[in-house]
Amino acid sequence: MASFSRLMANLFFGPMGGHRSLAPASVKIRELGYRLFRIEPSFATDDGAVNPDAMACSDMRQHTLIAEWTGKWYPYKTKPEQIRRYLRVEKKDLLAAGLRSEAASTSSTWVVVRRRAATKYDVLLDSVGSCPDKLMLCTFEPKRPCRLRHRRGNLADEELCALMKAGMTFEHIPLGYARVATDHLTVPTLAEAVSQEVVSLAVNRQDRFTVKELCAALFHIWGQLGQARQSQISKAVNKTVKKLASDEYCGRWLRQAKRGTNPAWSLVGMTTLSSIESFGRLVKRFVADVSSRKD
Amino acid sequence: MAPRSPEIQNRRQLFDCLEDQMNRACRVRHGKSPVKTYLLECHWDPQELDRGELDFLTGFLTVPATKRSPDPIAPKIKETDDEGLYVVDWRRRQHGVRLYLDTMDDPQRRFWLGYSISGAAELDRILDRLSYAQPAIDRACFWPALILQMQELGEFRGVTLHYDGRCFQAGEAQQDPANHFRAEIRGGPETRDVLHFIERQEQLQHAAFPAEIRMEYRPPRSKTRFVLENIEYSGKLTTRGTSIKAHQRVVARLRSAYSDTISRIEERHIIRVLTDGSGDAIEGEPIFFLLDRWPIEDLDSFCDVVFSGKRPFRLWGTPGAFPGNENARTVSAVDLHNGSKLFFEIYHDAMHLYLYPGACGTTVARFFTNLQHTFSRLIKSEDNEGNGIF
Repeated sequence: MASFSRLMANLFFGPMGGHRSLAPASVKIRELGYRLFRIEPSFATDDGAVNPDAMACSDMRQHTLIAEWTGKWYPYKTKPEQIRRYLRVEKKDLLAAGLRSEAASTSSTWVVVRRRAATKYDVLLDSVGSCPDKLMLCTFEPKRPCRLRHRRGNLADEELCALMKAGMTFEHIPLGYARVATDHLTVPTLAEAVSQEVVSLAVNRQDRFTVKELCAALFHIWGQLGQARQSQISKAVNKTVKKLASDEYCGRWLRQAKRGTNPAWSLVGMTTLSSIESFGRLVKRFVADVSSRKD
Repeated sequence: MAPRSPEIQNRRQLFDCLEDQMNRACRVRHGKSPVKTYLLECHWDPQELDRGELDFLTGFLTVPATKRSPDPIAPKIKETDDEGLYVVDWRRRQHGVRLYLDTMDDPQRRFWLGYSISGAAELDRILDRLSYAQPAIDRACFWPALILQMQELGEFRGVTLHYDGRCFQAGEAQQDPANHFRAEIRGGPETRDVLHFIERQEQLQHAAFPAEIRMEYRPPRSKTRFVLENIEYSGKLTTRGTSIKAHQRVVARLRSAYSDTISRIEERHIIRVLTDGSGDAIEGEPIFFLLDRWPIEDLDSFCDVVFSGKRPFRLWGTPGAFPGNENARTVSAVDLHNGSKLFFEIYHDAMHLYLYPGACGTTVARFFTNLQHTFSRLIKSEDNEGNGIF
């Protein structure tokens, strides 16, 4: 199951990895020298901390792109303040966040929402008095062919701005860069990736694992996340393992070894190939069952 | 009857003994077992063993129990005077097989060479069971282009084409033991033309999978020294002839070409995020399998076969819908041989494969080779820029 944010994360990372399904946009973005700066960064500004979904930068274009996407149908109450803070990001904030001086010269914010949520974001942007040259609003429709459309505003980098304004259509969005989204932490969205990790551990005859180890394998940027965020993710991952370990599924093979802040789980009885194969079949049933449910 | 394997103490004795056996197998076609050489891949770190290498290997090379064979088969292993060279004996019921295991041939000690003059059937069974059950050990899997490239080293002596698409068929067709294509072409250099002829036939192209090639190789400037090599896609060479050095040259070229590709896959195609003071960087690109000349008709049936966890693919996976695209599927998968984690995007005319940290390049080689063997030889593999991978 892929959430809007997982699709968007992959759509953001794919071009910087030069994925051929995203050509010609991926080619152009690479030509402009854009590279990923950080996934889910958090940095301070005079108005408080900002936490965009990702940032990309180009020394060649002397520009930093602050990206924010949301699959919600309406903006949260905190959104106007968040947008205001993005608009007030200054070069010194970017330098303090670790960007090189060239890339920190200019910056813009790129907001992507669902098409059906766009009108509400128009109202929001009008209310915050958005700076049209520092913020671009686009809409993304994940149905094939996937379309990224310009809605309003500009980016400080004219070439990148022209590329985005022209709109983009993709036959396929690659999904393999980000296996899970960090903002949509439910059992159905985590089941597939968590199950994959647990089966891999079983094949390698690892009889014990902690939820933190599982999280570090699942989320590329685990080490950079703050404690509160890590705790939120750990809880969701542990909940998923717990569900997998229920009697209905793998209770015979998967047992809780430690509770508390860093729970641990044991894989028991995985001594023969046939036991691993039986375990694999039950895990498959778990993924099929929970993926068809709404959480 | 399997020949008695002599006691050896060092590599020199081993290669003298193998050369003698190759020679006899060449002169007396029947009754003399040719030399078998296996390329094995092992994930271990000799520097970090908490016990001696011999103890470690005894556990490592113990064939685990299965439902059919409830007792594990522990080997007897003897060290030799040469470092890294071991004599491994397995005994099952009345059958004993011996493997001379050279763990030092590859400086990284990742790829091992196993030589034997024991009967191939029993030894193949033992090594298959071992690689099936032990995640840290694998038999190499030679893709068609690799073994055809090896054949270029010497003179063409024939090819066995084998295509077995039964796993993708339903009902009785799947069970019918005769329902597969096999063509054995033996002879001299003219057999290459036969192979090229078959490869050009539209109705046979998809099935022209070279499961085994035969070649004669003579070292440069030698008129009398030669080897006749059969190279099988399952990572085995069977050798007759008069020169162990010639055999070693072929094996060294093969191992080097194989390990170069496997290492390149692991360096370039594992998706990872690298983090340092200057930011995060996504490294690694997917592998693209092109099926435009032999598309997948039914995506769900295809996924059910490939990700069932059964042979030949042995991939466990959870096929799911592709968001917003009913003509595609996604699958998070695990290689049951070694625990590698993979992600597939599957379309009718292409597959995109992402490897995650810890994945082994051999997983990709095996997947590609099995797909060519059971689905279509017409499948191609490419990187992001369109360069061939295999």
